[in-house]
Amino acid sequence: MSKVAVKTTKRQRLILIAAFLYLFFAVLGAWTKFPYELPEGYKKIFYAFMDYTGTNNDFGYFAPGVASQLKTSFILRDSTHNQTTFSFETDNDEVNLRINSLIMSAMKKTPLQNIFARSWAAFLLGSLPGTERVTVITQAHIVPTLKEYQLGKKIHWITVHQGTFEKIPQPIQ
Amino acid sequence: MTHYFQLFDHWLISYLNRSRSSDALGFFRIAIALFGLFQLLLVSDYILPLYGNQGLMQWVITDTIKSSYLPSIGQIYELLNPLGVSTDECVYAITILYCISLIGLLLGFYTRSMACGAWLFHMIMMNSGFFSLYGVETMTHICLFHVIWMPVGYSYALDSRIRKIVPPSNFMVNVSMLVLQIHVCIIYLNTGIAKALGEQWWNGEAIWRALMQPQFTQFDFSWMAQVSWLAVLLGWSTLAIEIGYAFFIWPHKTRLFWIICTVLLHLAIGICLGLWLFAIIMIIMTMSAFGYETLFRYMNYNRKIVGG
Repeated sequence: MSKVAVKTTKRQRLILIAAFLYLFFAVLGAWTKFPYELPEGYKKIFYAFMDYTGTNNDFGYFAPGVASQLKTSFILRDSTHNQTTFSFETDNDEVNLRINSLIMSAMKKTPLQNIFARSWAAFLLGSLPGTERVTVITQAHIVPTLKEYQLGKKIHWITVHQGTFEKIPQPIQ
Repeated sequence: MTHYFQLFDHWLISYLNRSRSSDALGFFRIAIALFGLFQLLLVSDYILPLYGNQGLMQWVITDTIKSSYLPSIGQIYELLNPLGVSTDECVYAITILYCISLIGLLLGFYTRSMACGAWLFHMIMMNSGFFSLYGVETMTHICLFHVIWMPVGYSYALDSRIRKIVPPSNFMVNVSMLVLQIHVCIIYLNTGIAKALGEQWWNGEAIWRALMQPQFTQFDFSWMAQVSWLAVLLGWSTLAIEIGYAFFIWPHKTRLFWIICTVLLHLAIGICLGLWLFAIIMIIMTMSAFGYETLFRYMNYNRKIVGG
């Protein structure tokens, strides 16, 4: 037994310790709030290390349950009060998945809802000439339970956030 | 206690020094590089909307809100701005550097430097568009970190042919494989337990809700409401495969079966929910950690039987 143990070099022992620590952090990242509850100085170090190494993740995808999908659409109005609708949806499925992730992250938390709604409205007011007013509407996709659906309840959308933003006329110099 | 520790130590050291080819690690490197290039190609027309300053997430917002210590394209731009680099040029430069690193990684040419580049540029891009991230970017980041330190640049690599690098030691190959294997098990166990804590996975509602979401809709699954037991069965099967992974992937008798179940689970996610990139990267992780060697062992075994 000892013969084999002697064969390991110091470098190998260090590699083993590093590997063990890496996996230990992966477990901490997956199951605990570490390092959020540490004092600020330590938190920074561990947070950075875990972010860089990818150990700062839990993998609770679709867990503990599947959340309702959110979608954001826009109603644009020009100076003649003509209204058109707009959405970020593209013909690229992968990009659409990312857009949906963005909408889910941005619009599920109240403080972020206004920030992102304003940012998107400003983007549209700036990039679509003639647009004077943008209404940002975010809706949640409500799926009834299996039993409710069997009993005839329909899938529907409900509005969870709405905001209207207008272009401020520039004063004539 | 000391006796058991010595026994474990003895087993571990002999396990880590056993002879092993680094081909599975070469496969891992090639698969991750190809995956990254394919992913980049898919979103190539939307680089500016996804990562640009005037895109879906303006830098002023992402750089203010993000609490992470990772660098972003906005921060790189701040550094390069005095040189007259525009925001769009900065986005394209990072994207091109990421692409070059992935090509180098794919070929196994200056593999470790290319792996460092791919990891760094992917991380910068990921952090710049972090609001639009989903699981696939997390997995890519983890895999790219692994290819930095693992000896992935010997098998199927130009480095071993042109630069004549020495083969990796059995110890490094075994440690790398073991870390990758345990990490994949942690991922599956974590996701499985997180699902099991929710009622939706036990009563079939999670499967039903996912299949009925417009963003994932590939086919009309409304008929499933009439056969709700199928949704329950699929939910339980998902839990069994994901939680069982950490236990049944190790014994040789159950390994091949569990690999097949896992691959089928991810193929089903790709076909039914359209999450193809996520499905592919999870299959790559399982195949690299367990599948590649198992399949080769299985094929060699069959060849021996056929050959008598």
